[in-house]
Amino acid sequence: MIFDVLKNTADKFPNKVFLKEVKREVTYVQIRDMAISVAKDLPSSGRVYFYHRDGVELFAFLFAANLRGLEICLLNRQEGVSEAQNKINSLGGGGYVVTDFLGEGLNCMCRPKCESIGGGVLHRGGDSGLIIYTTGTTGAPKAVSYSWNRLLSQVRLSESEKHANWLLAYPLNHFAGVQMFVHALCNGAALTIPQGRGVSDVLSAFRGCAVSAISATPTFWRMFLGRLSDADKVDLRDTLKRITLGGEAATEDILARLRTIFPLASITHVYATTELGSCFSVKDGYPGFPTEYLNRKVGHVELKIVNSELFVKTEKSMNGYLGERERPDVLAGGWVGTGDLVEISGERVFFLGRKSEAFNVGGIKVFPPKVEAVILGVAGVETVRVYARKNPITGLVVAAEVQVLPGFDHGSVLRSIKQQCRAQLGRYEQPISISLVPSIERANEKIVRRNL
Amino acid sequence: MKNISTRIKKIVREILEEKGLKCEHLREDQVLYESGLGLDSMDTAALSAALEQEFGNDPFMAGKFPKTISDIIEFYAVDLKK
Repeated sequence: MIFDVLKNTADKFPNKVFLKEVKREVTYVQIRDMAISVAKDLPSSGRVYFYHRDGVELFAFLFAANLRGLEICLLNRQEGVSEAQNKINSLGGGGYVVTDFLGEGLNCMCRPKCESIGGGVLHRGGDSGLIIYTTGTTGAPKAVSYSWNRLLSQVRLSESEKHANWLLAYPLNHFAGVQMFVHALCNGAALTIPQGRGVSDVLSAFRGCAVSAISATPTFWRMFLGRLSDADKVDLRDTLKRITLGGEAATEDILARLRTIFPLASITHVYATTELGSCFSVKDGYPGFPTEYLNRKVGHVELKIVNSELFVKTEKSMNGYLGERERPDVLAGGWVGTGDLVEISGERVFFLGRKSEAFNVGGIKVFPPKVEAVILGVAGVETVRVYARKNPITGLVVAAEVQVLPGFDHGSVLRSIKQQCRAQLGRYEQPISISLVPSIERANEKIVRRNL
Repeated sequence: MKNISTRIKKIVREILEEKGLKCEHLREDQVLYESGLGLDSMDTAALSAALEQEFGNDPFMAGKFPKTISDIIEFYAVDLKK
């Protein structure tokens, strides 16, 4: 599947650059040849696990595994080796591991040897599929099984996209990273792989690789924009043509900042989940989505609201969870509960938060994202996490951790937060305690959500 | 003891100020709720959280329900003697 797409693009555009790193770029043809070359190092059947840093070699091996008809499981390279081994074991053990990890502790059966030259690889064809883990920002990560066919069919094709150079702001083991990868592949676009996801690495990638488009979480953008100098912003203003937000609800604060800093870029926010894939996008620059999406088919999905929860009907979702008994909430007719609570206001549907994240304060439901949106609207706030804290009077109370942008006075930011919360939130929604912290735990550039 | 009293009064004063009430001179025997200082359930929840943050524990969490500032002082005084 993905190898076939690679081969077709390589045949059509022999000189087209596919992957870029700061000091290296490779064409579709070169990646195709590398994949054919390394495929002989892989087994002829079964599953192959990838515990590997993002880079050209990883992509070559991915295509090689697909060429060999192997099932691919992408593991998080940021996790410790014992965690990776636990995941392999929980999926039944065995299989091949492709890794750049050179230490002990991983039952490693294969290491990259991209320089080796081989030939005569049997092309097994078929759709051997992909296993990927959910982010785990609201609970333990779950293994999700996909067919490449469905993933590729979610991609929106556009002629202009072949000139785009997307930054891979999500790791490839993240579903959004895979989406970015197949989007670039199917559209014949370039994909820039930064050395890391810190501000300096991302800036180096922007400058060194002429990135024109970036898809990232609102949390990533808040952190990134907060550290850009005025000169950096001017630099990026002329080169950045497309901005996509996903993974978390896009709130007014970040949409407005992006509009101001990058007036020439198109700004889109997408709704996607690991389980359902890419569902729909919103291009008007405002939070939420229009209510008219509820009355018609939007791309390949249908949407409806049942008991304040957004339900989606799509034929392009995952095959299912692996090693889990849990299933998403499915209604008759194939409607799947997203776990996202929404409310209609005027002609707009707004996200309130995850069903699992909402909590009761004195019997009244609180949605952390609503509180966070108010705090994020305060000048000087870089990022925030709102959570439930045990309390002997009301059972739970609202607490918040806030990371303040460099150069802002903590006392006045705190006063403004309290003032805005009093002005915009109900009493039970107002944080009882607000801690200013140097950093907030994130996973895959999303705020980690655990109640204390 | 005086220090504990000052810290507790500061917390109570801040909670009252959040409600838009000014109270320059807090008496230790003043009742915290209803006809006294008028703290409701959310104010009391805030008081509990603030005391915990300030002292590391709080009387409400320990199963007590102090009626006056004196009761709170007493809780920490007993705690200090342990």
